[in-house]
Amino acid sequence: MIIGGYALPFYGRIRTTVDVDLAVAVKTEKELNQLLNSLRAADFEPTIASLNNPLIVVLDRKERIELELWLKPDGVVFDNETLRRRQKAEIDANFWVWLISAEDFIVNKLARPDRGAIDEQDVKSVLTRQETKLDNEYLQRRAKQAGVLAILQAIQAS
Amino acid sequence: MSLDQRAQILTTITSATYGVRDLAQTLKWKTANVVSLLKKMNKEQLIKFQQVPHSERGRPKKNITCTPLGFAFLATYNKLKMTPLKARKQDLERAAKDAAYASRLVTNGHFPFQIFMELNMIARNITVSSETSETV
Repeated sequence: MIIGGYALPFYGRIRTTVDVDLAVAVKTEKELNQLLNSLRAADFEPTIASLNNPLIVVLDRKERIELELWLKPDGVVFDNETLRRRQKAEIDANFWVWLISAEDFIVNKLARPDRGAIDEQDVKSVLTRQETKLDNEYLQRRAKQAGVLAILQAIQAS
Repeated sequence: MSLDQRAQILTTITSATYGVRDLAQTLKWKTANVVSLLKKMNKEQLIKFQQVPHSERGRPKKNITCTPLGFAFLATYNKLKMTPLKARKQDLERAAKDAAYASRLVTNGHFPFQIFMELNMIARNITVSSETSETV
């Protein structure tokens, strides 16, 4: 499912971004190898990949862009609830993708170890645009699990 | 209501048993303000009110107790006190305005993702052309 900057225009503000961030639920070496083989077959160039590494950087040779495949997205738990809450969105004619839920998007942004001002602005924009749609109980629970509850409250209060 | 006010209330009510009036006296805040703050915190599930079985005449007294979420908030608040927000207040205000703009686009029948892709394409073309001119 899409996470990060490409999911932002669905929930918050519109801004440019360089990377495409995708969360991929890969749990075994076999699944990882299948994924890497599929990527290579489609002319993508994965960098060093390991189940121990939360991130695989993939170069799209044709479009000359970088994809980031997150096996362990910061603050996001790959459980049934996360998957049930993801959203299906049409991004082009008959081209549908899965998007991370707005709540998990917020937690993921805040849980980044290199969280910066842009991430906090993204969160503020989602909180503003989705004000009446957010499931606050779920958001607070996930923020608490990820250890970002106070920073979330700080952004909500400012 | 600020983050600090929330933390101040939680710190106080976790140190001893407090009713609304006692809390207002301890914090030296106006009772009306304290009531309003507590209502918000109750809605946020940071605190809850516990009715005290009363033996005296008058309105039943309610004690304020900290919820597990309140304790977690306080713990994280104390942990993060040294790592404040990275964004400035005006950055966050700007982000909220940008979000309101995106909402208006949707209301007027636009598709934000399409606008995002166009914007991204323009930015990418600028980067590519500046890289090309540097090479030349």
